[in-house]
Amino acid sequence: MIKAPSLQNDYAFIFSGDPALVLPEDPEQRKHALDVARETGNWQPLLGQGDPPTVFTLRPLKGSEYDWWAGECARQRLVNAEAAALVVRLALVKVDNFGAHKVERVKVDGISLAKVDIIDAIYAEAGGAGRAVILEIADEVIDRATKAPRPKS
Amino acid sequence: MQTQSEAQRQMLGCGFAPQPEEARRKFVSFWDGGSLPNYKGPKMTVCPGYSTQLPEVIETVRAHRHWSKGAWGVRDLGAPLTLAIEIFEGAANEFQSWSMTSESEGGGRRER
Repeated sequence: MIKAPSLQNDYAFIFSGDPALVLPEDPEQRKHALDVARETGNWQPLLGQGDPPTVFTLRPLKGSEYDWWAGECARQRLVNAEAAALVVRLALVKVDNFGAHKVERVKVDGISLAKVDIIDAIYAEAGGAGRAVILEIADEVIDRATKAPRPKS
Repeated sequence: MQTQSEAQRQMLGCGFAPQPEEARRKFVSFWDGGSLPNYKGPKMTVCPGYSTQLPEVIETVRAHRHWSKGAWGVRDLGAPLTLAIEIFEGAANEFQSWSMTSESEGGGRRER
C-alpha cells in the first residue's frame, strides 16, 4: 500500500528512475508529473503495465535524530555517500516490492535506524542506479527535516 | 486521492478550467486568485481545488483546528507540521483581513 504524504506520519517514496514508472520525456513535464504524484500520493497515472514500483516507506526525523545524524557526520568525518546512507537508514521503515529484502531496525546510541543490509540490497538490486536511489531518498528526508513545507505544484 | 475531472472543475468555477463563454452560468464566478474584486496580492499559481485536496494540506488544516483550541502543542505536532500550521495561520489571517476590509480601503468587502 502506498501511504499518503504526511508531515507527521510515515509516507511513501518512489525513486524517479524506477522502471515501473512511465514519465514524460521533457524534463519540465517529468519534474511536474513526479511532484504531483509525490504531493497527492496518487501514482496511478504514472504506472505502466509491468511490475509494481519499489515503494520505500519513510518517517519524518525528529529534531534529536537529525542532530545526532549531523553530529555523526562531523564526528566520523563521513563523506557524502556515507552521510546520505546514514540518513536513509534513520528514515527508512519499510520497503515493498523489493524481492525478499526487508527492513530491520536496530538501536545505536539510543537512536533507531535500519540495518546497513538494506543499503547494500539497494546497491545490489538497483545496479548502477543504487547511489542515485540513496541520494534521492536522502535529499527528501533532509529537506523534510530542515525546510518549511514546499510550495505545491 | 483523485483530482477533479475537467467537468467538475468547470462546474465549481475553477479559474484554471473555465467553461466556454456560451455555457457559463451567471451564478458561477470563476476564480483563479487574481479575479477577485480589488485583489492586489500575488496571482495564484496553483488551482485551489488541487491544493485544498492535498493530504498534507488536509493534515495541516485538521491539526490547526486542534492546535487553535490548545488541544495539541508543538511537542505533539513536530517541527514540519508546526511550520505548516504557522504558514496556514498567516495566510488565513491575511485573507480574513482582506475580506473584512471594504473595497474603498483596498479590501475585498463589498459596500452596499
